[in-house]
Amino acid sequence: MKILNRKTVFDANLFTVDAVDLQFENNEQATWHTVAMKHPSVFIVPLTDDNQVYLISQYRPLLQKRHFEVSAGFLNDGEVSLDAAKRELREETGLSAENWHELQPVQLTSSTVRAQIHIFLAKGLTAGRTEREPAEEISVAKMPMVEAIEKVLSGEIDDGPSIIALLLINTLLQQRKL
Amino acid sequence: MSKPNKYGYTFLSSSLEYQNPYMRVYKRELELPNGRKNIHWTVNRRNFSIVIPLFDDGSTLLVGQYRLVIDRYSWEFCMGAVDGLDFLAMAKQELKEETGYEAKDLEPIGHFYPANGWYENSATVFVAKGLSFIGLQPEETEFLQIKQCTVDKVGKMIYDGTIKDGPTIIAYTYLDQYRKNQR
Repeated sequence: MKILNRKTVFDANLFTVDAVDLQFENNEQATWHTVAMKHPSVFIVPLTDDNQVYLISQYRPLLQKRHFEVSAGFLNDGEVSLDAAKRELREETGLSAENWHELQPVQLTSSTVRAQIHIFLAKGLTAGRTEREPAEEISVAKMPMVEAIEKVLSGEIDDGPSIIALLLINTLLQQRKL
Repeated sequence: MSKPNKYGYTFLSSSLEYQNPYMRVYKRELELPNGRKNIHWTVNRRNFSIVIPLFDDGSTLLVGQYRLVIDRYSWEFCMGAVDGLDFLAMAKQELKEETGYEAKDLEPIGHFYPANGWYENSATVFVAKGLSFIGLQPEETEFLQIKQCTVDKVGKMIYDGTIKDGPTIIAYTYLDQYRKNQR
């Protein structure tokens, strides 16, 4: 497969829609449309020494309900993922952490949307003040990791990246790889 | 559109800003409980189904293909969207088209939103059992490779970073729990 041309056909605030002209191995040509997020995002799982995790609960206008989620946000221009993770965790939960572990980045989807996700485990936590953006109406909940995993499996936590972050970290901790 | 919902949010306006045959982009304006206004850009595509075939010997199938969006070769569970079909019907059709298998039982084991801040669609994960091979249509598989491997191998590929596809990772976690419940 060869990319002949790629151009942005629409620019929204957070993402662009791109038209990509392709030529396949059999010489047929086609135009595919992809969505590309302008910035990667970070997802942070803050874990206490006794295996309690801090989640946030936030109203999501798109789905018109409140969701338990992992603390998250986009990288700012020129910001590296670890700095973004530290900033988002502090802003949304007031927490700062001594030890940070970054997992391998994953892709939100492979088929239509290009959005890279950086997942972090944060340990050695200290509480502090939150610095939320005016539009963010966030509450913080602390619960045992096993309870968070139950919420994933029962469908109560149904945000894709939160599912990935909690379950990957839980499994890697069980396998003693983190 | 003008009354606050039970969470105190009011939808002020919604406009279709861009569309092509595969997606629509909306600009949605809403008023927050504190009176501030906020703009949300959202993508509306299609809901999709993910199908995990499960053979009696504990193995499953992965589908491999080059993925333009992420510019790499990607091993994934069978998945896709079909206009006008519900989750179950999409699962049946995608399984047949991508792997050539038909299933006696298709059981939903999970449902999720890939990105609840800006992506309007959701996905349902199915386990497919009672599988029989009915054959592939050559044109459907021109760019696809199929690999049969154990479920544990899929887990290894996720934890070592070989599989990076979000929906496949999520589907695996539901599958992992499903298998634990079966024991």
